[in-house]
Formats: sequence, C-alpha cells, structure tokens
Amino acid sequence: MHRTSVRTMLMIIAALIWGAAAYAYEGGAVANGGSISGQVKVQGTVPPPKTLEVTKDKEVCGQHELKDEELLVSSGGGLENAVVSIVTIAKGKPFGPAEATLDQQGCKYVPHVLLFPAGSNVKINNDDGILHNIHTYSTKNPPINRAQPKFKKTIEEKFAEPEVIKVTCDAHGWMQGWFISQDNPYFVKTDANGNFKLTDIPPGDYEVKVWHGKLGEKTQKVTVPAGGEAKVNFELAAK
Amino acid sequence: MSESAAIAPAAHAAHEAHEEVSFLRHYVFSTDHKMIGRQFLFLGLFMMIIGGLLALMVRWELAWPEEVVPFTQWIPEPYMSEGHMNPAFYNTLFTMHATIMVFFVVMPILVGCFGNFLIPLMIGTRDMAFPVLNMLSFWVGAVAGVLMLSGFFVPGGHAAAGWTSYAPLSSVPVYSGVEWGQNLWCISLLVLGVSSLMGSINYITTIINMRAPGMTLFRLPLTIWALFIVAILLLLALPVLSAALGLLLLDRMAGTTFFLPSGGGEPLLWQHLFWFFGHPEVYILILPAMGIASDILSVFARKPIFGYRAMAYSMISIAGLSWIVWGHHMFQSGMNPTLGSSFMISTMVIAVPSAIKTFNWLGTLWGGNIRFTVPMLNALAFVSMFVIGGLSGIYMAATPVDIFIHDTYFIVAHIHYVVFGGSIFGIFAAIYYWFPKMFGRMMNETLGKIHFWPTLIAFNCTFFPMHILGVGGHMRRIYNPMQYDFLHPLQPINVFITVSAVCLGLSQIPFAINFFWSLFAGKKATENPWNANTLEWTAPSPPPHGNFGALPTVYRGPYEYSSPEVTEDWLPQTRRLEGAVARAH
Amino acid sequence: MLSWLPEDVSTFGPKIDQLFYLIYYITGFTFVLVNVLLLAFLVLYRHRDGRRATYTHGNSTLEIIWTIVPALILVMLAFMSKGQWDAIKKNAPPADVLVQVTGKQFNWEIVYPGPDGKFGTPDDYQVDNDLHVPVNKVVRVLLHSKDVIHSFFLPNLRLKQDALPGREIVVWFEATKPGTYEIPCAELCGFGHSGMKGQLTVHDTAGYDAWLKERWPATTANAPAADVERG
Repeated sequence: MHRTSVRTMLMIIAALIWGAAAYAYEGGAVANGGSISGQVKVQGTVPPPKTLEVTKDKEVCGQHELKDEELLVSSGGGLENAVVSIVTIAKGKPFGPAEATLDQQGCKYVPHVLLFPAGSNVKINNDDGILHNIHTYSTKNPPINRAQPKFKKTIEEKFAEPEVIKVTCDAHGWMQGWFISQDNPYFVKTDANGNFKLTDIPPGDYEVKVWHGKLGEKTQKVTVPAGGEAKVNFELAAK
Repeated sequence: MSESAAIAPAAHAAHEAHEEVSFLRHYVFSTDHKMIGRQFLFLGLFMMIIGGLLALMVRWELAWPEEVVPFTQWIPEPYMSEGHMNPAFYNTLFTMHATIMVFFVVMPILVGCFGNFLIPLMIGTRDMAFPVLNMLSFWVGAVAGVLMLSGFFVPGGHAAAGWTSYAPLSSVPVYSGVEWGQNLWCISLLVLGVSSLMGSINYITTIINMRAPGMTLFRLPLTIWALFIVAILLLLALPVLSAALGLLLLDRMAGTTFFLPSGGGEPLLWQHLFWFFGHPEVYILILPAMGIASDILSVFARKPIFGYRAMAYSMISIAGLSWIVWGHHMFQSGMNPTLGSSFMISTMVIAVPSAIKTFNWLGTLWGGNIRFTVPMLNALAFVSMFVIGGLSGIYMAATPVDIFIHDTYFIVAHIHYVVFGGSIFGIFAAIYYWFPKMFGRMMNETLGKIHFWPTLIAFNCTFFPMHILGVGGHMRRIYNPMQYDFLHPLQPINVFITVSAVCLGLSQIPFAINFFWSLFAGKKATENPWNANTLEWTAPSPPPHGNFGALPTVYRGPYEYSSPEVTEDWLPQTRRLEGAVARAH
Repeated sequence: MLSWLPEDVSTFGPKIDQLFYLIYYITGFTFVLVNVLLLAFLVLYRHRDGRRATYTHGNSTLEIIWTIVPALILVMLAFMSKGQWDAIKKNAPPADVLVQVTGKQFNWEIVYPGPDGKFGTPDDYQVDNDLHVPVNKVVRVLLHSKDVIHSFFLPNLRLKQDALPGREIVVWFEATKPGTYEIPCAELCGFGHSGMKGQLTVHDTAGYDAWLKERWPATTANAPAADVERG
C-alpha cells in the first residue's frame, strides 16, 4: 500500500509538470490577426532630463554630455521608453529566443531599455576600452555581477525567466538601464512621442499593460477585433 | 628523563629484522617519523611550485595589465579570457598564492618535514611518542591539500578575499561572487588545523618525555627549541583560527550573521580572531628557520652558538609576546585608537628579542673558521634578509607611519623579506644540510651555488623595490596600477620587479634538478659529512627504522666546536671523554 | 628612497614624514652596521688551514647592551609616535567643513550636507567620487560603508581609514595647498577594487566659493557648517 501511494504521487506530479508545459505559450500562424495601438502619455509636468555627472574615467565618459534617460517626455506629453505588452496570452505569432544586444558606449547603456524573449542570449558589448562592471538585480534569473575589462569586448548572458531587471554599472554609478525578459512575443517600446503598436494578435479579449521604470505600471482591458485595430491609451501620473 | 630507554636495544633490533612491511606500509602509510617527514617535504615542494606559478601570474598582470599572460590561453572562462586575466581571477591568484605558501609550503616543510624528521633523531629516541597519530597527521594534511586545490575547479572560482579573508567580503557570497571556492578554503584549513594539532601533540610529548639520558633541555639544539616552542604556539593558536573559520562557514552556509552588522554582527570580530591566530602564526613560520640557522651557522663557523641561553630565552619571549601584538594588523581598521597605541608598544618590544638573536648570530661568526658550504650560504642569507624584513617592520609598528604604508606594497615587501628571505632561505639551508641524512646521498655543491647566488640576487631585485612602491603609495591587491594617475611614475618599477620575479622562478630550476638528480645519483653520504655534533649525525645516512643501534647517552651541549678539550674542531654530544661525567652543561 | 613619498599637503603630514625619516635613519644605520659586520666577519674569519675558531659561548655584557639599546630606541619611537597618532585618529579638531563619504562596491558615494550643515535635508547633494573641499580648513569626513570593508586613502594628505559597514568613523584632514588628488580604495573590496577611486579637489578660497555658488545657487555662498553635530 505504501509503494502504491508513492507511485500515484509521482504520476500526479508528472501529470502536473506535463500539464504545466502544455499551458506554456504556443506560437504559430495567426489568422485574421488584429493589432493594438495607442499612445502613452504623462499626466502632469515633468522636469527636463538632467545631465548626469561624470565623476570617473572622464577621458572616455566625459566626451559627450550624458543625459538621464529614465524619464523622457515629448513636448506633447508622450512618454518614451515605456513598455507595452499583453499580460497573458496562450496562442499567437511565433515566439522564441532572439538576438538582443546592449552596448556600453561613452559610459551609457544603449538602449536604455532592452526587451527580449525569455530564453534569449543577450550580448553585452563594451565599446569604451575601459573597465565596466555590469550588475543586474534580478531575483528570478541568476543575478549578474561581472567585470568587463577593455579586452572583453563582448560578454553573453542568458535570461531564462521573464522578469523586469534593473541594470547598473558598479564602476560608473550614473549608468543605469533595464533588461525586460518577456514571456510572450507581444511587447514593444513606445517611441519618442509615446506611440506604440502591437500586431498579429489573434482576435479576443486581453489585458494590456504599460510599464515604465520610474512612473510604474497600469493595465487596461482591450478587445482585439479580427483583422482590425484596437485603440488603447494610457496615462501615467508624473512623479 | 626518558622511559623508552627501557626497551633493550638488542630486542628492538631483533624486532626490526623480522618485520617485512608492504610497499603501502613502508612508503605510503608509514608510521616512521622519517618517512612522514619526507612525505611532508614532497607535499611542500610540490605546493611551492604551484604557489610560485600563481605569484608569477600576479606579477605578470601588474607589469602588463590587461595584456595576454603567456602560457595561460588554456585557462577557461570565467578566469581567463583567451589569455587575458579577468579581475576576479586576479583576486583569486594572490589569495591562493599566499594561502598555499603559508599553509601548504612553509608549515609542512619547516614544521611537518623537519619537525618530524629531526625531533626523534636530535633528542636521541627511536620515533615519535605517537607514530600512528603522526601518520594520520600527514594524511589529514594531504586531504586538506586536495580540498584546497579542488577549489580551483568549482563554479564561482576559488576563494578571492585575500589569505586574510576579511568579512563581510568573505562572509557574504554575493559580495565576491565566489560560492563553493571560499567554503572549500575554510574547510581545507579546518582540516589542516586538525593535522597540525595532531603534530603538535606529538612533538610536545616526544620532546618532554623521550629525550635520551643526559639530554637536558639546555643541551637541546636550538632547532629543537624552536620546534618545541612552535608546537606549543600551534596548539594554542590553531583553535582560534578554527573557531573563526567555523563562524565564517556558518555565516556563508547557515544564514548566521556573526560578521554582518545588519544581523547584529561585527566585521572586526573576524579580524580580531584571525589575527589573534595570525600573529603567532607568522612566528610559527619564522622560529624554526631561526633555530635551524643557529645550528647551521654554528656548525660551519666551527664555533659554539653565541649566547645559547639568550637564544633560547629570546625565542620563548618572541613566542610569549606574539600573543599580544595582533592588533598591529588592525591599526587602521576602525579599532579604538587607544588600543592601537598599546599594540604599538608591544610590537616595538617584540622586535627586541629578534635584535638579540641577530647580534648573537653575528657573535657566532666572529672569530670563527667559516666554511662556505651551500647550507652555510643559505643560512647567512637568512640572517641578512631576515634583518631587512625585521627592520621594515619598525615602520609599520609606528602607528602614524602605518597610516600611510598600511595596505601598500611596503607591507608586501616586509612579508616577503621575512617569509621568503627568512623562512624559505632557512628551508633551503635545511634541505641542503639534512639531505644526506634524509636520503643517504649528498646534493651537488656546484649546482647548490648555481641555485644560491641567482636566487639571492633575483630575490632582492624582486622584493627590495617593493619598499619604494609602498613609499610611493602603491596599494596592495590591485591588478592595474595604470588606473591611477599617481602610480604611473612607479610603473617601471613594477616591470623591473616582474622581470626579476621571473628570474627568481627560473633560478629554482637548478635546485629542482639537483634535488631530484641527487635522490638517485648523488654521492653516497657518510654518517657525518659535516663533522657536526648533534645526535642525528651518529646514526647512519639514512637512519634505519629505530634510528640508533643502542640509544645514545648525551654528555654535553650541541655546540662544542673548536673545544680545547679535543684536537678535532668538533666534539659530538655523545662522545665520552676520559674521566668525563654526564654532567649538566 | 623616501623621495618617492607623494607630495605632502596635509597639516599633520610633516610630523608623519619626520617620523618616517627618523625610522629610515635608524633602520638604515642598523642595516649598514649589521651587514658591514657580517661581511667583515665572513672575510676575516673564513676558513684557513691551521686556524682554529675562538671557543666562546657568549658574553653577558654584550647581551645586556644589545638588549637594552634596541629596547630603548624602540620604546622611544613608540612614545614619539603616540602623540601624532592621537592627534590624527582620536582627537579630531572642530570641523570647518562636514561631508559624508560612503564606500560601496565600487565607488565613493559622497553626500554634502549643503548650506544648512545638516544631513537628511533637501539641500543635501549626493554624487559619486567627487569630493570638493576648501584649502586651509578642517574637513571632517563621516565615513561609512554600504557593503564590505573599504579604505579611504588620501596619499597626499597622509590619511587612511578603513570604512566599516554598520559603523560611522570620524576622519579629518586639513589641506595646505590647492590641487586635485586621487582617492583610491585601499582595502580589498571585491573584483572591482582595482580602479575604485574618487577625486579630491582642494580649492583655494575663491574657487571654493565659486563651487558652492554653482552647487547651491539659491543661498549665499561659504556659509560654514552651522553645527558640527552629525545631521
């Protein structure tokens, strides 16, 4: 009797694991795909981006003026570098690891926000010829804390789990950026005017989220019509 | 007096003739102190090669930072990037260089090899008090060595917090990025501590209880005095290190916060515990070499050691004072400055016995009839180099000066003058001197001199300029001096030091060749090739199991060279003169 | 050898350098004495056939002399050192300027209390690695650490102090000459230890006023720290 109940337990566990795997995202051809587009705006006044103080390696880092890219708002109130994504979606366009590259140029992270599918290998380039030290604060993925001397032009790190990860440089305190590892292919960054568009979405009801490093998150429900476009606008309060 | 003289010599000899031991019992798990001594020697010499190579990698990086280090392309990420050294690996290299040299080279050779080999022979007994414990002490030490080397092969790399392993860098894995490497470092040293404790128990018991008839304490050679004092230091100091390592392991693996302020702990606690052990430890490293140098100087100057009792008492006072100076490693640590002043005084005072010894060594040479054999050359270099190391310590003892030179290359210079200039030249002297007794063959004198002179010159070219670097403010434990504008003018010195260090490494090749060649093809040694007085030279070279035929009786001290009582310029401790009585000296 | 010492711009530097030189002469003399005697003995008393070494076990008078003389010199050095040590590490003089420095992997985080002289107020200014102080004024540094032990090292000010997590350590200096100097970290603090450095700018009076005005434009410049109590 003892042995039977252990075996049963193992079978249930196996079924759950298989079942969980079966609930993972399924990518393929999308018929009558629709899109979600809109704009993310900031409510309230926002100070202009401040100039970052370069207090180390000035010969390299002080070449160009560095501006804080954490809160970039257009004259019309559009928020740049916000990330719009679909919260949960089971089936849609193909999804798999993609190439993602972060450049350290003039002691600045380019891009400020880097988006990629979970499971991707991220290439981190050091174009500056000086010592950088990339340090990520992640809990779901193993945290990264690596020195990158001038001879290490590229290091690669893999991010298996979806997560929003803060990226800093321990050698240059003003350097800051974001890695966002996604669990489905429907994600996009807003442009300089805060505009975004997600395409090839199977028709249906979804929850759409906007995320911003400083101004936080908001979600909205949206229905995507077959072959049509759904409009969603977000407003985040200034901080 | 010794009770073991109760064993009738004839019965013992008969017992030897019957014993047929297997290869394993004879060479591997031997309980014969001489075989165990040889085992420690091979362990130490093997580790010296590794420790030396690690140092060369450190030096290469300092001279040519961020460039390719030759012969290292095979070392994989995350240590090296196709021959380029990653900063975290540099930290591992100097950590492991020091750890290996202190714990797996100097201690196994001076204490493990020469302690084991010489104590029974020089006091006139057949073996240690506890032969099986002795065998275990080697094998536990060997296990510690394997554990220590294994740390190079685990994810996260080996320990990288310095051999001093300050918390919280060492106690919180996230701060260093090192995981199992640091744990293995702790565990290995805990195991090694057990090995040393076993040895201490054996040495102390044997020296107290098993001396031959007539061998009073003040007829013991200074080598034995040193080893006796060191065994007591180890017995008392190692448990403190073990406690510290235990707390460190608990912080790393069990979530305790002994050294973490956020959990109510105190980083300085680690430093106090470590240095309370650490300071007696450095005297453990130097005292045997001092004893050995005293003996060798006397033999080859053909004169008694000058001030024998002063020499013995100064070693005792060094050992006693070594317990109250540990705070001089912590002057700038945030420790109360008033404590700093009291440690300054005790540190200045501990320099006095070393000064006494230096003048007595000079006194031993004065009026001598000096023969410049290879052991003698190395013993002379010991005296001169140790003096430099000791004098540089005075700068550090003066607390205001220490504000500037703490954690600079001035300290690195000091360390290497006392441990290499002192202990390692002492080790070379001891090996050249006792090789005939250990292996039954002579080492080659010419090759010995070809080893000695380049070593002495390259050693000074490597380490003397480090004083200048320190005066210039060059910090320790950085891999790239060029990151600092104020260090740029000093960089040519770094290059010079590295080139000298490579020469120093190459200078050891004649020694390696001499050692291994002589093991098999050296001239067969007589019983007493040096015409020395101490008891080991009355046994065959090498001595059989049981050492002596009949146990010796001692009539005088060990330093009766050029005595007016005889025409020869030496007079063994065991030689009975007409009308002589075994009186206390 | 001591000519390699970095330029001393510290009010307490000269006494340290004097002690350095004194020890240099004493140890230099001893080194020469010991080695000259050593070499002389090696030459004079080398083996020659027919010679016999002088049979002696020692000399008590010499033992006493070469015990007492080094002891006196060394203890004298200790007493000569104590005063300066206390002046630097124990008895910080009243501060003219207050600043907080926190070591963290791998930068020096500096917080200026601003014209109100208090920390934790809106006019505080935080920046990494950029320490500005006026010449000829006592600067008091409240030294902290965010993570591991670092060491605040100002070579030209002859100042070094370990920064400990969980503790505030008071450190002071007074610069005698304007200039820019590096602030290396002098205690192994991780794989970024090499390269961890800040910059100290010592301004002359006019330059410091100008810097204050640039930093805190709204207030009148050069208001000395109102209180030297920790904010």
